[in-house]
Amino acid sequence: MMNDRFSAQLRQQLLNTADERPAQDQLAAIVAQVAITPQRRPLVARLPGLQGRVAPFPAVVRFGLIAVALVLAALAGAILAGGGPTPPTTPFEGTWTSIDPLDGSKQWLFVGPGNTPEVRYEDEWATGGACIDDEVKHFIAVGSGEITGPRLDVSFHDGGGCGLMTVAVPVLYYVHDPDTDTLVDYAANTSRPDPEVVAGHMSALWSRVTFGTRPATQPPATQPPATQPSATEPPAAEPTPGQTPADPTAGADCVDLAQGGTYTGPVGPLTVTATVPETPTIPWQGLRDVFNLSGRCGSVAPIGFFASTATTVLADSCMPDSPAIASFVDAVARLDTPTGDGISERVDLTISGHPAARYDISNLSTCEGFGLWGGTILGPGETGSIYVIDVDGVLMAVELNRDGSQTQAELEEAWAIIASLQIAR
Amino acid sequence: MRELVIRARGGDRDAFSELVARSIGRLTAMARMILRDEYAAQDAVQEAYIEAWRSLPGLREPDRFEAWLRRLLVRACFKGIRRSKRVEAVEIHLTPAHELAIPGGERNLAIHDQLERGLARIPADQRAVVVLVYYLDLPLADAAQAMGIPLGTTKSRLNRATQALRAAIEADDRTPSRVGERLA
Repeated sequence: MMNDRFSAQLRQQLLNTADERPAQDQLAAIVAQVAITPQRRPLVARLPGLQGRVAPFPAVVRFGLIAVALVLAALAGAILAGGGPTPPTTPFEGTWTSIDPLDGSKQWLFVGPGNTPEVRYEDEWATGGACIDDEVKHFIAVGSGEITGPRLDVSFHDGGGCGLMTVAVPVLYYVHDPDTDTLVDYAANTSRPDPEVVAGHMSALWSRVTFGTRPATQPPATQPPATQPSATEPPAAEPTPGQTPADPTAGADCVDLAQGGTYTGPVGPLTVTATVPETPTIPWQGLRDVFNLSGRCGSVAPIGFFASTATTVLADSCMPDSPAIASFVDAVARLDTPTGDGISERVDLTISGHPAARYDISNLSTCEGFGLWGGTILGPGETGSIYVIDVDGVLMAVELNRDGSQTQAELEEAWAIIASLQIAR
Repeated sequence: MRELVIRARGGDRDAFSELVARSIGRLTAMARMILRDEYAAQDAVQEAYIEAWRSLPGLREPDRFEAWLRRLLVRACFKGIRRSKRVEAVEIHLTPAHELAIPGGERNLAIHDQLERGLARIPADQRAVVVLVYYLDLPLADAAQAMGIPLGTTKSRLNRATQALRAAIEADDRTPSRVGERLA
């Protein structure tokens, strides 16, 4: 009874006091702003933060997404096991990655063999309307491609989405630059016989992660385009471990460092090499496609490093909003801002001759995420460290994520690995 | 409405302007109630609309436009609060008592004041849930969606908010009786 009366009072209060008169000229101001604001392209139209905190993903989710990529890599590995690396049938075949120009998330493109390849597009952090209700905003669209010279047109007939909803995906085409071995994507207007670039489309630059592979039994392409890379061309972008895997169970996805050695992985425009001491206390394994060094291949558990470079940086370290900054000074200032239980003071360091800072987090409870951008961040309840490094103007971050069970020796080993990092551009 | 959304989604600015004109009153009121700061509310409303315009091509279901816009507004409100670091130290904007035309005389006026003070005191996230549920009359599930938080969290926020507000009224209930005793 009290509740009913109270509810009525509260509702009446709000209705009585609601001021629905727009501020003077506000409507005109909005209309004027809209007049000069372009809309985003449909595929990646962004609705940032609609789940309260779209990013950062908890580490478990993030590495779950990596696991998805690993499944794909495993398929490639199985093919490799059958016949060893083989040249791609087209310049498009292989795995490509790019940074979404709109929100800084990482995108993947998997292009199959042949002149009408299957194409799979993935966005690791899709903040678009397609994923408005999805907890895990990993957008996937599978399409069919058609290659004409240096151009790959892809139609995603079944649309794409993050699981809960499927949305139409516009026809895209990718143009290959043989000089740089990169792709640029464009949206095509299919209502015209000769597709043209849709105004307002923000193209992404795609760099190659791996060359294509195909079973040895598959006949080679009969008429490869003139721009096809040489069969002897090395897989330039693939990280080269300093040590041959000693443990065959590590498989094709990870470099086994259980006996120590060096591990090299790409971090944006940088190449980062870590040295693992001989007979380490942790059986380290390093992912080949991204810089991820952990106690279990492709996992964050029980301890693992993950590195990335600045793309879109959060407005402050507790909030996933994103005015872009890329300066070390700004990054440190923002990470210095939140204080509270579980967030240490900044520790100033030098890593690979570059200025760096470390923040130690213990069972984070102060805010919903501590870090700088979606890929490198600690979430509630997580323990670890965030490092930021100024690599001659390129802002790089390393997340050390751990479950808190490590011995002092294991922690010192992890810190020694961080201290050993060599970073090259 | 649906037709306007479809046209706006296709880049029709006039259609979008019409959508803004139709919804700006309600959104402004929401922002004022959540933020209790006139300028911050104006900023949040503008930010929500601009984000809506930019992202509209990604809205698959035109019928969800209003719910989607609410989410953008709630998000813009929280962004504004975080930006200004005024989560608790919000400017209290009380409607002047003489402007009210509440039936029921002094008793209702007292409740009004207590609720206003209570609403000003509770955190913005709780206030937002109250606004969504009691002002917009949204089901809890829709309020949770607008807030971008789980249903359970929404319930607990609403529960905490209403407890605080009820306590304010109950305190008010006790005060007149004591005064009455003294007068008697």
